[in-house]
Amino acid sequence: MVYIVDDDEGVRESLTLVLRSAGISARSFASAQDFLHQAELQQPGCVLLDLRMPGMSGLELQEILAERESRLPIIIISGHGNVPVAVQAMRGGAVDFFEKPFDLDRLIERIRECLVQETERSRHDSRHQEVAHLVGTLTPREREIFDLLVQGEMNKSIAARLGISIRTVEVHRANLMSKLEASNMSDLVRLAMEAAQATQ
Amino acid sequence: MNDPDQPPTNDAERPVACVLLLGTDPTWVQTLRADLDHPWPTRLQTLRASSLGEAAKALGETEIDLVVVAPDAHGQSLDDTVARLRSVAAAPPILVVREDPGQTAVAAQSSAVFHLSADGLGNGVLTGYAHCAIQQARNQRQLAETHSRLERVVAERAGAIHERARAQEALERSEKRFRDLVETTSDWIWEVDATGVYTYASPKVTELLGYAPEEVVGKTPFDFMPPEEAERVAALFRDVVQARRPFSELENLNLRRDGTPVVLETSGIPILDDDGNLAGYRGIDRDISQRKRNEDELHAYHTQLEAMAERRSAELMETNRRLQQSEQLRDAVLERLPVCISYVDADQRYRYNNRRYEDWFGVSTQELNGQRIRDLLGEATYAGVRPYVERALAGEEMDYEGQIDLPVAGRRWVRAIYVPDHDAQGGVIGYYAIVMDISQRKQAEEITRRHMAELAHAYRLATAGELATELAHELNQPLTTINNYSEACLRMLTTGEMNRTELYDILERISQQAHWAADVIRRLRQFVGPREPQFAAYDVARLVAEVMQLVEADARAQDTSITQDVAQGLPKVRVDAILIEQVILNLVRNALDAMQPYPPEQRHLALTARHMTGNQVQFSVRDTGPGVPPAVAEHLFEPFHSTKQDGMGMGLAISRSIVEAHDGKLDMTSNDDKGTTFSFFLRAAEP
Repeated sequence: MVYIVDDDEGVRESLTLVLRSAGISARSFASAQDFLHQAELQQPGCVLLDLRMPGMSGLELQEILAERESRLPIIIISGHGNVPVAVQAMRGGAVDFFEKPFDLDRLIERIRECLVQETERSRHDSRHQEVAHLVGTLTPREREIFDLLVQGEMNKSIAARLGISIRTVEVHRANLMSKLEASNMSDLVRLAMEAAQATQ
Repeated sequence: MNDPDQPPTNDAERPVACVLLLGTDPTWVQTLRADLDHPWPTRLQTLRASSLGEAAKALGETEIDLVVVAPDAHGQSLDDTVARLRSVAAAPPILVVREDPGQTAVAAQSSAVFHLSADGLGNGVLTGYAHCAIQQARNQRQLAETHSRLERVVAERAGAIHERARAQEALERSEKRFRDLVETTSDWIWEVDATGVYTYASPKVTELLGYAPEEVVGKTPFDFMPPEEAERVAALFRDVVQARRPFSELENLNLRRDGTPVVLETSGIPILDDDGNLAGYRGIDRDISQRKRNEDELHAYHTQLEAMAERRSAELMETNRRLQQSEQLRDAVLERLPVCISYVDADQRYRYNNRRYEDWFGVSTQELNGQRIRDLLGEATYAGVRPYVERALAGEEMDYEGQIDLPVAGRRWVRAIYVPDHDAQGGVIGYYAIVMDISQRKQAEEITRRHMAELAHAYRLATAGELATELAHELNQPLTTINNYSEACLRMLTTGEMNRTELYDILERISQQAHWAADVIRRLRQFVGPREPQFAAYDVARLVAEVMQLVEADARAQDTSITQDVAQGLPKVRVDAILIEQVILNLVRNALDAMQPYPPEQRHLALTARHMTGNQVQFSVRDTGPGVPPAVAEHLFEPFHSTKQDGMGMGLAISRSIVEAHDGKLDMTSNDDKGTTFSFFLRAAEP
């Protein structure tokens, strides 16, 4: 979903139409306040934000979104080639800056990129959550053995380190493999890397 | 008649002495009568006889105290005349007025006949003389009576001693009576001898001079005068004595015994002995100090009156002179001032024209009198003037400017003032007109207006430069919209997603946006383009809307909303729209700038247009900024006076010039609560 925030009705409506023609669904808002009240900030999407608006300005909205930990990518659309304001917006995390009237092909391309990244990100996000969940089902002993396994330790050395029998290690290993839905050692290693990424 | 036994008690009761004036020549009669009428304590009644017969008749019928014979009544023989007059019983003394003094010797000299030279007349000499003669005659008559009585007494001497004693007594009584008479008269009676030494002084002298009669006898009149006065009087007397003339009412200043001054009036007649030699003078003195004082007062009063009269007449002359001056001034005003002054009657005919009309129209003022305005001005000019003439004749005072065509000078700008003239009933019977040539002023105004317009243009260019950024942004919106819609159409037409209706709708929106953009550009071009001043009746709401188009972007950029309050049904105003829009724009932009330091919710800008009394429209721009400090306000409208860092300081100066070129006035007032209001008035266009 693309959110358009611009006080100019003509710009708002024409942009909605052109995005629709490109197969991108969009919702428009006449002010920053309307957007804050009505938009789903945590859903994946992209914001086309006009900098100069009566009431709350584009930069102010950007700050509020950051405070609320929204991860929505922001593309600045402005009638002003106002460099200092653009720089400030970019520092604040805006992904791009378009001057009116727009190069629509590039704008649409950029929006698509953003949306792909968003999908990607959202996909990553759900895998990370899954991994974290699987890892979370392990008992502390299973977790110990999982960590040593992915560091390349053999059953024998693990048993010696933990002061348990090799047989016990083998039982824990079979349990954790089944819990983590891993069929072999390489599955385990990938899981461990994903988990490490998620915690980062 | 004077009764010696009954002495008079005061002047008013004194009897009239009767004088018979014998004379035929009216001139003489008048002269003598006049001289007889001179003021004297005893009034003289004058009877007139024009012939000796009439005189005799009068003497027989009336008691006459004195006969005055005029020089023309001397008859063939004066002696005969005198003798005939004397022949009448109880003949009074005769005063013969003679024209020829040489004949004196011819006349019989007697104590009862007096001669007076005609050239000595005047100033009451005759009056004085008459009184003296009358008095003398009376005295003599009394003396004679006394004597005859005495003689009778002496004749009766043979009678007893008793008789003599009685006679003596009678004499004494008689003398006493005489003395009483002399002594009780209010005047001092005196006699001097030929050398001027007093030989007799009646007791009255004591009252007058404070000296006893015996002290006076032996002295001369001059002994009682201050030296200068004595000298003056002596000189006068020398001639009188020389001519043996009587004199009267000679005023002289004397010093009383106690040294106080007293003014005496002396009259006297010469005493001649039987041979006609001067034996002395006899006369009277009276105290005229009081009269003198009265006279002096009278004189002073008179002088005062004269001075007053002189002053009045001087004032009158001055008034006259001023009047003349003011008339001259009026003439100068009417005739010499470089304006046409006229009076036009209800028929629109000239009744008065000053000479300036001759210069303007080449027609004499005489020819103009009675001429119709229409005929003098010509149809074209008259058509322009007519509504004003008709309104003036309807009783309205007119003051307008217009153009007329003159035969010599050609087309001129004039200002004309018509003042209706009303009759007693209030009806309009004409009007007074003043017409002045204001072409030069108009030219100067035109030049000023051009300069102002050039300056205003330069300033508009600068303003446009400042506005350009915002306007570019403003133009970006429709361009963006147009671009978007076009792209959308292209894509959807390609994919076949868009139907006809949708396409039609989109194209309409595109067209709208394009128009709007074009409008903004046209407005800007109009605003900055070179142009001639154009005054025309212009709609107020349109003025405001056009300004808003230019300034809206700016206001939006500054996040300030503008409240517009344009009253309904406003009359049009006669303006150069671009210039007035420039003024409003300037005021609005100033207001926006002024409020910048405040947060958006505290910025309120109101643009108002209202209908005011006097058929004016008031424009005002009100802000809620910090206001204008008095020190700044003082120079607010001066050029190059700016409070802004990058300001030229020309905006308000030019705005004021523009408003003034529209006969308006630009003002600044501080709001009661907050901020400032700039406002100006424009006259509504004539309907």
